[in-house]
Amino acid sequence: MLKQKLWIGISALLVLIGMAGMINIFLHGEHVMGTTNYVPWGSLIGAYVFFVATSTGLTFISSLAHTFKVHKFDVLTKRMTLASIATLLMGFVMIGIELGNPLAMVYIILSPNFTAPIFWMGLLYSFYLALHVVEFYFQLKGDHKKINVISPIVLAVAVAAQSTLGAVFGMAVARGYWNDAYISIYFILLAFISGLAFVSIMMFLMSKADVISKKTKDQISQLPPVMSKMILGLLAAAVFFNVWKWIYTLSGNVPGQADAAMLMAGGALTLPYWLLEVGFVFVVPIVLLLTLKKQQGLALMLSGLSMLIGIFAMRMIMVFAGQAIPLNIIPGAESATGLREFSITWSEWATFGFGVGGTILIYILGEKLFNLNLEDDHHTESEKSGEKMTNTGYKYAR
Amino acid sequence: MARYGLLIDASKCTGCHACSVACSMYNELEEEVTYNRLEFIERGKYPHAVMEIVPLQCMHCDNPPCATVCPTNATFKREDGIVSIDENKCIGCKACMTACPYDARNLNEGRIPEKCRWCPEMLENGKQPACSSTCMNEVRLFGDLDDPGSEINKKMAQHEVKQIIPEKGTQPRIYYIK
Ligand code: SF4
Ligand code: SF4
Repeated sequence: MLKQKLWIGISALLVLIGMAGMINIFLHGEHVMGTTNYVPWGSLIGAYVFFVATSTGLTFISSLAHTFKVHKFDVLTKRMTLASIATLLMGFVMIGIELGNPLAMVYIILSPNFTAPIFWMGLLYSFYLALHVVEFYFQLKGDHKKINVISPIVLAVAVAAQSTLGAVFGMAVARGYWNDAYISIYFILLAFISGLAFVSIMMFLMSKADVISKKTKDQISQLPPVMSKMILGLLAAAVFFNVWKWIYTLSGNVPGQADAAMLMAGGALTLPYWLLEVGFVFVVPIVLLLTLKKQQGLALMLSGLSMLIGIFAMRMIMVFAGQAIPLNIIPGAESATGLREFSITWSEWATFGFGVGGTILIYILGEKLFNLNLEDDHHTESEKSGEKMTNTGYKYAR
Repeated sequence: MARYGLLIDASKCTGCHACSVACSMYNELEEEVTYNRLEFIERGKYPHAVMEIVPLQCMHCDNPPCATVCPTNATFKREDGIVSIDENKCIGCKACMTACPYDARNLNEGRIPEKCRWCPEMLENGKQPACSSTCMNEVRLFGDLDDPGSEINKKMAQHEVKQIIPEKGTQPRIYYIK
């Protein structure tokens, strides 16, 4: 109980500081943001990508249970859906603050531009939120028939929305670093890793929390081996992507692309890239998961934390690397040399804090308001249908 | 319907910035917003060094990426070719700014990305916008590209012209005399 109070206290503080930052941005606009005319997309865009990708990743994992019938994950589905809704809402807060005039959003419906990736992304993520809420409602009711119908749709919309978000960057023809056909696929991969990182932390905390039933804890204790394998497999795929991206970038001739990569190879972004992106996202989790095999729960939690911090940095690096190299409009001109300035202001940091605190608060509220454990609905359903239960309490035929 | 274009003879530009000042005054621009700018390029080495100056502003592209990515059609192409902004519809997503290969847009205090308008109220009345009319060397010449008798067409016929970074596929409507 005390632990929960501590979480609530820290989250509430983050939310309060976040509100101060958001009010500051509301009052003073881009003057108190790290954006400029040359770097128009700032850190809040990175934060938006971070939160919505985590939400999408959580949907991928919960779909393992409902769409792909890997019933080991049944125990987490309601909690993952709740966390997915919470992170999605916080993503919307991030983009709402970054937008100069969010009230005009109504024109996305009244005057849609079908060629704009942002239109499709907005549409798909709104649809995703609505479907997610409906899915959560049926999960709480234990109505598996409806969940089985809605879950694959949520998954499809999540894939579409996240890959369209990739296209928002990928279709920016002026920005060589983003303008890449594979960016949408890479976004899907990273979203999956973000979701796994989040679940790894969730599992550890749940295994320690006194409000979680013993049965649920037992079921969670069976997940680490498969989680560990999934993380290692996806990280390997991401390494593969990255190695080829480096090779293509450095050997290719796309304007602005190699220059942006050089920011990471030996420029302004070298330290964050190698320490936070390469180190935290890849090296630390791979080493932890391969060496701490006896304490897999702990290794997963630490890896999850490391990956979330690293992926957050990765989003920022991607956003800034795409804009920091001046457009080569007139070769040789003063404006085509040097580097565009970029920064993250306290108001923006505070707004991310709001996102983190808000996610935790919504989650804790959900834990308090709803029954997120499996036992009851499964008992009822299996008793009714007379289906076979396994020794772990999961049904394997539905 | 006219199809407006702009011809720029950069070799005549002295770098006096009168165009930028006239534009700012005419359009009552905020301090941090400029619709047109001059790019300076040093070529060669002393004693043979020269300074090249290139005036730049929104190209009113025929294939404008800023309009393609605008989710609400706040940025749109008019029939006469002018790329315009409906500020009421703008959500301030700045996608147009990241999409523009010419760095043509500036954020105003209201967080709307503004850019050169080509002052349609002047062109429609057969007048030159402030940047052009104020220039002592007549560096700019606006006109109707569909009118064979227009000054711009006559001048373009006499010179070889080029566009800036045409390889981006934006089909800019500003032509520069080579
Ligand atoms: S120059 Fe830039 S802002 Fe102007 S029409 Fe072309 S893409 Fe749009
Ligand atoms: S900032 Fe405004 S004009 Fe630019 S793309 Fe977004 S909605 Fe359109």
